[in-house]
Order: sequence, then structure tokens, then C-alpha cells
Amino acid sequence: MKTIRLENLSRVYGRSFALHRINTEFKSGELSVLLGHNGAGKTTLMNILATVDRPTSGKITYDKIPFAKFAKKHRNEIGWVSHDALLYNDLSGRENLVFFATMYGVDPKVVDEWLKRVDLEKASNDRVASYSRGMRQRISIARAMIQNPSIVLLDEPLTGLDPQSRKNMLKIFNKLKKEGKILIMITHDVSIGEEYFDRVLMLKAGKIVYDGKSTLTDIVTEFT
Amino acid sequence: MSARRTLRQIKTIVAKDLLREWRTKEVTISTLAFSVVLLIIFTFGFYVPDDPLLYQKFAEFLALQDIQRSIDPKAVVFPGVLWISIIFSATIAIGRTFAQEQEEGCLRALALVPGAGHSIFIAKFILNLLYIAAFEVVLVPLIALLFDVPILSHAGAYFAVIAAGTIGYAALATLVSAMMVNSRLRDVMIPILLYPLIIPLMIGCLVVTKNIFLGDPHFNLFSYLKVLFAVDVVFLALSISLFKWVLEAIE
Repeated sequence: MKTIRLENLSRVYGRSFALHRINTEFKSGELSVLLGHNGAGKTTLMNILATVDRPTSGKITYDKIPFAKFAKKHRNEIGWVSHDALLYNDLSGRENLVFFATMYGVDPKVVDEWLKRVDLEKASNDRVASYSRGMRQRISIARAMIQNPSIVLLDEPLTGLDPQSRKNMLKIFNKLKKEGKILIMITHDVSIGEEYFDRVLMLKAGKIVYDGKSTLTDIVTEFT
Repeated sequence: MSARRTLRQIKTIVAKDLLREWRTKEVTISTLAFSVVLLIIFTFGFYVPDDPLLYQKFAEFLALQDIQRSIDPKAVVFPGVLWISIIFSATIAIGRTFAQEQEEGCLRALALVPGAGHSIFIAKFILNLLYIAAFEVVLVPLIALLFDVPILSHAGAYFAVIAAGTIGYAALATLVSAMMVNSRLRDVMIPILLYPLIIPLMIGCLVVTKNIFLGDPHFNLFSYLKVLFAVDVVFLALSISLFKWVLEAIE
């Protein structure tokens, strides 16, 4: 079982702590939910794990290897769905996926498989500019997964999805979990059923104030 | 393996950007519109007709300045018009290459691809070269036609000096446009940063262009071109090595 371990992780911007002495770990085959108000430090933590930001102090290891060292060699092992779609509007959904697959050196055949999984086969040849928010979100998830990463970072992936697409997406996450991937998801959607996640981390002012499993509604009610 | 990966990534980025340009015509339209306006202004502002009276007055002016040589007035105007047109129009084109990526946040996604750092820079450099070369193919003959300069008689020499200037300019411009990608004042800052850096290269190109036009038999064209291409190599090597840090800052 692979583990991402965070030890005394802090990130300081100017004089304020975005993250303050975070100690936790994320295991393969688990979906961890990050909850918290705006400015609680969720996105900072996600950016550090996506290697687009660096901690001010503390240590991160992946399977006992320093995370920075691991990421330098195996950046393709990190799949990241960010706030922005990170897609080219002038290209079709399929062209976007083929582009990223080729960049990663992945056989473009996987594109069809992912278009099917995110239910965008019919609209695959339409330009992304014409997609609804939900469709953009789904193709963005396919883009993040195209290289088959072992760490999946999901920054509010369910925003803008209709109930059916949301359910499909959660099923996909469940399947990825069963494949042994580490899934970390930021969400403000407290209606996600307990069957879809394994653990909840509640962040407040850069600190973990809750780490366990309960319904998301209960946690939010208790800590806000 | 690594070289093959880099080549594949460069090819993929160039193909993607050319497809996007084919669809949006963003760079083509803005550069073309700017070039046409610039050319009209230059033609009306600096055109030197083959008027014997004007030539006589110009000779008198040179005599007053204690310049004994006989200089064709076109030689004074043509190299400047040529290089100002190329540089100004190219600035419009190169400003877009990285901005397009950043507007949709894709540069972050690209930067996460293993080994993509060098590929991104080289692909964007190639694209800038292609864009600049494409409008030079139209712009240079037009300027020659409007200013009545027989460029075909020294086509090889003109081609070499324009290629030398374009390569060096594209290398530095690609780096500077990447540096400015997150700046809201990008369109203002790129020329402010870029133009002072290319002054040495441009002075060389202007001197060579003027001497090709004058057909000076004592001018050692080959030596000058060697220096210009050596400057290109330095600019390119520096830009590639510095891009790593620029990309880290962008992320």
C-alpha cells in the first residue's frame, strides 16, 4: 500500500499561515475529502501535492521517498483537476484528450475509453468552447486521468454537474479507488453519501480540526 | 528515449498551435492588420522617389555634413524601414504564443507533463519563427517593391541577414513573452524588456542590410553574417537554459 505522508507541513504567505503544522497521510485505495471554508488552506494543500507550490517547512514523502524527488521523476503519476478546466477552447474534447495523451506518451486509444467513461462520446468532436460547465468538468477529469496517474487530486470536481453526471462521476471515483489510486477531493458539496468516501479532513485556518469519518453535513455543522 | 520524447512533444505542441491558429486566425489577422498600417505610414513618410533634384539636394546635404561619399538616400531609409517593420509586426505575433496558453490555464497542465520544459520552449520558438517567416514572405517583397529596391539581385545575402535577425529575435522574444505571461501589462512590458536586449543584433543587421544594398565591394559580408549567427546561438542557448526558471515561476 502506497502512502503520502505529511509531517509538520506549513506554508506561509507573508506573515500568515495558509497551512500550519499539518500531520496526516493519504493511502492508496482511499478517497479523502477535504472540507473547509474559503481560505482554510485546502487549495494550498492541493497545490503543494500537485507540485505547483512548495511548503515553507515540513516534509512530504510518497512511499518513504521525498515527494519532490518522486514528483520530479514521476510527475505523470499525479492527475490534477483544478479550479480551471485547463483545456483549449478552440479544440474539440477529443482533440484536447489526444493532445495531452500524446504529450504524456500514452496511446491515444485510451481517449475513446475515457470519453465513454465521462459520457461525452457524442459531443467529443464539438469544440470545448461550446460545452456546458458540467461537460467541461467531465472532460477536465478525463484530461487529468488520461495518463493513468496513481495520485488523483480533485479540486471541486462535482461543481456544475447535474445529478446524473454527479452520480456517474462518483462511481468513476469509486472505481479508481478500487484500482488502488490515492484520491484527494476538495468539495463544498455536503450531500455526498458516505459510501463514496473513506475519510474526511476538516481544515480551519490552516489546521486540521477533524480527521475521521462521519456524514459531511454533521462535520460541517459541528465545526462551523 | 528522452530526445524522442522531446521531439514528439515539440511536434505535438506545434501541430496543436497551428491547428488553433488555422481556426482562430488570431495571430494572422492582428499581425497582418498591423503590418499593413505600418507599411502605409512608412511608404508615405519615407518614400524616396528617383528625382534628380532630390538626389542633388541630398548630395548637397551630405556635403554640408562633411560626408564626401556618394550615398543613395534609399540606403538611409530602406534598412530602417525593413527592420522596424519586421520587429514591430513580430512583437504582435510573439505576444500571443504564451498568452493563448495562459488564458485557459493550459500552461499549468502542460508544465506538469514530465520533461515538457524544453519541449514547450522549443515548440513556441519554432512557432514564433514560422509566424514571423510567414509575414516576412509578404512584408519584405512589399517593402522592396514600394521603396524600389532590387532585392532579387542579392537575394541570398538578404535572405541570410533576415534569417539571422529573425532567429535571434525569436529566441529572445519567446523567453520574454514567457516571462511576461502572467503580467496584466504584458503588451506594454514585452517591448520595454525586449527591445533593449536586441539592440546589438539589430545594429548588426542594419549595417549588413545597408552594405548589401550599397554593394560595397570591400564589405566582408561573410564575416558579419558569422558574427550575427554566433549571436543567435548565444541568444538561443541562453533562452533555453533560462526558460526552466521562468516555467517554475509561471507554475
